[in-house]
Formats: sequence, C-alpha cells, structure tokens
Amino acid sequence: MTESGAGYLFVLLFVFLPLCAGVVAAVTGRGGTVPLGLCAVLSLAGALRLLTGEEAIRLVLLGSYGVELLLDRVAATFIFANSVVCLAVALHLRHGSVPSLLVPVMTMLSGTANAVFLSYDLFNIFVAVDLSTILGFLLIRMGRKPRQIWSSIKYLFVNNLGMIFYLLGCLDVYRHVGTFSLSALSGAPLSAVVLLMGGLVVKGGLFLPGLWLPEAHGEADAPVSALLSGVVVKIGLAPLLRIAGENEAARGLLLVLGPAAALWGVFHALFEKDAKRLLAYHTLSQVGFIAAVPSVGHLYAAAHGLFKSWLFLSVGRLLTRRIAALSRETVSRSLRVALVLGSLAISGCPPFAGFGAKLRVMGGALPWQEPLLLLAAVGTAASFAKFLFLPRKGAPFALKDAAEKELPPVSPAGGMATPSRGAGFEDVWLGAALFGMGLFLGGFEAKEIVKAVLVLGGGWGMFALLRGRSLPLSRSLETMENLVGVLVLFLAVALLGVRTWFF
Amino acid sequence: MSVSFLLRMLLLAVVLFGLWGVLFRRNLLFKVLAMDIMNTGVISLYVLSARRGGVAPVAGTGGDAFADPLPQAVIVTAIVIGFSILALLIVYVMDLSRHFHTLDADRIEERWRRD
Repeated sequence: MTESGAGYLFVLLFVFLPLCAGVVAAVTGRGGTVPLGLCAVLSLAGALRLLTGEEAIRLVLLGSYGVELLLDRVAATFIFANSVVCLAVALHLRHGSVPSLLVPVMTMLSGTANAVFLSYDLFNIFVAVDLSTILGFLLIRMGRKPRQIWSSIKYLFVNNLGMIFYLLGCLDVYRHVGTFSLSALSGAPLSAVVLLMGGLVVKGGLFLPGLWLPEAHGEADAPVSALLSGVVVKIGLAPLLRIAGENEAARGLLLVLGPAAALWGVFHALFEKDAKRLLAYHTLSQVGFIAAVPSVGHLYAAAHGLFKSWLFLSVGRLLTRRIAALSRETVSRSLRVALVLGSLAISGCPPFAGFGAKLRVMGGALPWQEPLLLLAAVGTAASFAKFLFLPRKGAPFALKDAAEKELPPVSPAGGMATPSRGAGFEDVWLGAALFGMGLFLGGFEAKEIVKAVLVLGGGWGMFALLRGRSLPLSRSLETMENLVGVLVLFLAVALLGVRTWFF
Repeated sequence: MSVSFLLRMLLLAVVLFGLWGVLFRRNLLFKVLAMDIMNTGVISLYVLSARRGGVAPVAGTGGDAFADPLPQAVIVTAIVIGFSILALLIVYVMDLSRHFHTLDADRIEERWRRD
C-alpha cells in the first residue's frame, strides 16, 4: 500500500469512524458505552502504530490551496491521550444510568478532537474547533441543572467570539500569503497571528482569556469534566503549538503566556475550597506548562490528559465537593489510593508520566522561565497535598469564611452516574497508562529524582505553612461581561507587546 | 479611494459595531445578536476579498478575472456553523430566562452565585 493510502486509512479510523459511530448511536439509541470504548481502542491502536512509524505522513488534499493533514508524532501523541481518556470515561460510565445522548456526543467529540490534531491548515482547524465547541456545550449542560445552563452559555458565547477573531485572522493570512496552510505562516503579518492566537487561547483555556474554564469544568458532571480537561482543552492547544512551530512571534507570545498561566492557576488553586474547582484551576495552570515550551508541549499535554481525567473521575466519586469535609472515614480506601496516585502523578513524582513530562519541559525552558515554572510545580505539590494528607476525622464543620459559604450544599460531586463503589477498571487502566507512559518517557537519573523529591517536599512544607489559611480571591473576572472585555484587552495588549519585542 | 477599500472599511466598521454591542449591551439576547452582526461582517469581508474581477467562478472564461473560489467555499462552512451556534444560543437563552426571569447578564450572574 502506498504511503498516502495508509494515511487515508488512518484518517478514516481516527476521524470518520468515531463521527459515524456517534451519529449511529445517537439515532438508534443503542449500544451503551460500546461506541465510545470501541472507537477509543481502535484509535489507540492506530496512534501507537503511528508513534512507532518511521516518518510523518503528509496528505495534501487540495494542492495549491493548502488544505493539508499531517500525521506525525505530535498528532499521534495527542490522539493517544484522547483515546486513553475516552476509554477510561467509557469504563467509568459502564455502570449507572446516563442521559441517552451523553455517549454519542462524547464519541463524536473524540473524533472531532482527532480531526483537529491531524489538521495542518487554518480552515480545517476552524471547522473542527467550532464543532468541538458545540459538542462541548451540549456536554456541559447534559446534567440539566440551571447552574450548568448558565456556565455552558458563557462557554459557548466566549468561545464563539474567540473563533470570530480567529476567522478574521485566517482571512488576513490568506490575503497575504495566498494559502491556508500552516507551513506558510512564517510570512504571515503580525496582526493576523495575534488574531489567530486570540481564538485558540480562549479555546485552550490559556491564562486570562481562558477564565471561563474553572466554572465550566467545575459545574459539569464529573465524567464530562474529565473529557473537557483531558481532551477539549487540548483542541485549542494543539493548533497553538503547531502555529508556534511555524511562526516566531506566536512562539514568543506562548513563552510569556505559559509561565504566567502556570502561576496564576496555581495561586488560585492553593486557596480553593471546592474539590472540582480546584482541579479546574489546576487545568489552567497545567495548560501553562504545556504552552511554556512549545517544542515538547505535546508530551506534557498527553500526560496531563491522563492524570487530570483520572483525578476528575476520582473526585466525582467523593461524597462531597467540600475539601474541608473530607476525612479518612468518608473516603473509601480504594478511592483514596486513586486520589493519592493521581495527586502524586500531577505533582511530578516518578515513575509516573508527570515526572518525565515535567523533566522535558524543564529541560527545554529558557533560563528566565525555569524558576517561575519550578515555583508553579512546588505550588502544585502544595495544593494536591490537600488530597494526600486527609485528616483522621472530618474537620469540625464551621462556615467561618465567606468563600466556603458560596459552595453548593453537600451533593455528590459526580452528578449523573455516581456509583457508590471503590476503584474500577478505569482506575487500573489510567494508572497503568500513566505508568507505561512514564517508563516510555524515562529520565530516571538520581539527580532528577532527587530534584523531584525536593519539589514534592517543598510543596508539602508550603502546604503545612498555608494549612487553615484562606484568602478571599475575587472571581469577578469570571463573569460574562469581564470575560469578553478581557479577551479584547488581551488581543490589544498582545498586539502591542509582540510589536515592541519583535520589531 | 477605490470602492473595494471603502467597502472594506465599512465592513470593518460593522464588525466593530457588533463588538461594541457584545461589550456594552447588558441584555443577553442583544449580546447574541450583536455577535451575529460581527459574524456577518467577517463573512462579508471574505466575500469581498474573494472578488477579483467581478465574474463568478463558473462563468469565468479563463485568466485571473473570475472570483477566487476558495474563500467562498470556506465561508459557506463558516456561515452554517455561525447559524447553528446562533440558533443554539437563542434557544438556551430563552430557557435561561424562564429560570432566572431576566435577561440581564449581570443579574443572572448574581443570582447564579446565590443559588
């Protein structure tokens, strides 16, 4: 078989199959979680095949117009993470009843995500990203709670606004270079690049324009949050990393935004009292790590997809979202194991994938980025110590500070399917995947292990210092009006900043 | 000043006008409509920049005189997507107003936090 023939087969497998399976499942209403799981297994096999392959396959669909697909290792890494997360979510949803459209929409979403990862031209990316926005919107409000409806409308509104700017950027690129292909971006004008980045930064939840994220990810039901943090955020990030590889100004912008986002997210997470919002703030922060070093961002993105979805699935089984009310009595042992392993993985503890991925990011960081990222890593360890050191008895129930009063009353964090059971296949699967990827990434040298342990220790020390303290952080930036204002301001500042630094 | 430059400036003004509405109207329905105005401006910009000689691609008899088909093909997709998002937003904004009894974005936010 020719190379391009194999390439088209891969596209059928990664994109066409999940989309068709999703539509068929939605129409017939049968199949349970099988379509999601089956498509995940097949794409996983394809991704592994692509990862072990020799060379990247480039498919040019419309010659001079630059409609292209690129099947390389970067795309394969993203698809790998996508399929692992989807399989875990399918395993998680096996028990309990779920809304009938949930699994079909998730299946279509995974196919759409794969389409974004493979695309190498601006317009295919636009179509797939916008489709994923619609599917994400449907998923967020799948639990049918009024709170979710407002969060989902904010999500759709802000993301669509971002994509309008992206569309303007596309036009600007086309007018100047005469093609939509990403490979021509090095000659694109600055304003166009900033507009393109504006849309994708919103979608990827990077720094201030991404502040819709804590609310949407915090309000959605746990399996949906797992998919949102594990896959949907990467739909914005993958094209960002691709653009940064082609265009110097875009790379410069990401280098600055990355550490800023990492610190901002961690700072908010440290004082968060709600378990799901805590994870959402960490997504904001981890996205910063991914963007800080664009050349290895895909590895960190894959690792983040695995451990963050594991954490969301575990937190979804807790009896309460209030961290202060967690104790050794209220959390079953198997659930505690899952929480502890997930927390260790995100804190960068060997031998999990978080360690190897963090190592690559630190290795590629610029001298001024390194201390900032290290500080964010220590903060991450401190924040996740909340799940590691659970008190013996639940803390006496006191609503002293205002922040805690704002939390919804004790309700299962899971939402739709909250089977009251311990660890399941999904925990074993995600743990194994994290471990396997950790081994693949390697880097187990004594010096690096000592460094990772020091970061963990520093984080736990910070946790001991901060324990019981609270800081009422304002959430006013997360209102709809301010989200829109911040996006416009961001575009203006980015344009000015890039112009000053690069020209 | 050429006609096409004038049209371009006018369409950019439409986009900015929509952006003004998105930023400063407090009523959600108007916000959504303003976003659609922005989208319309962008779509028209695509159509404008695809026009080269004023001849439709199919009717063109060679040379560079006919319109560039790619931006047009591309923008048809964007129109469909924009339309579907508009429809979704309006339906759910209606749903929202039934629950919160207002369309004022600030007030919804306030009640949302209190709930």
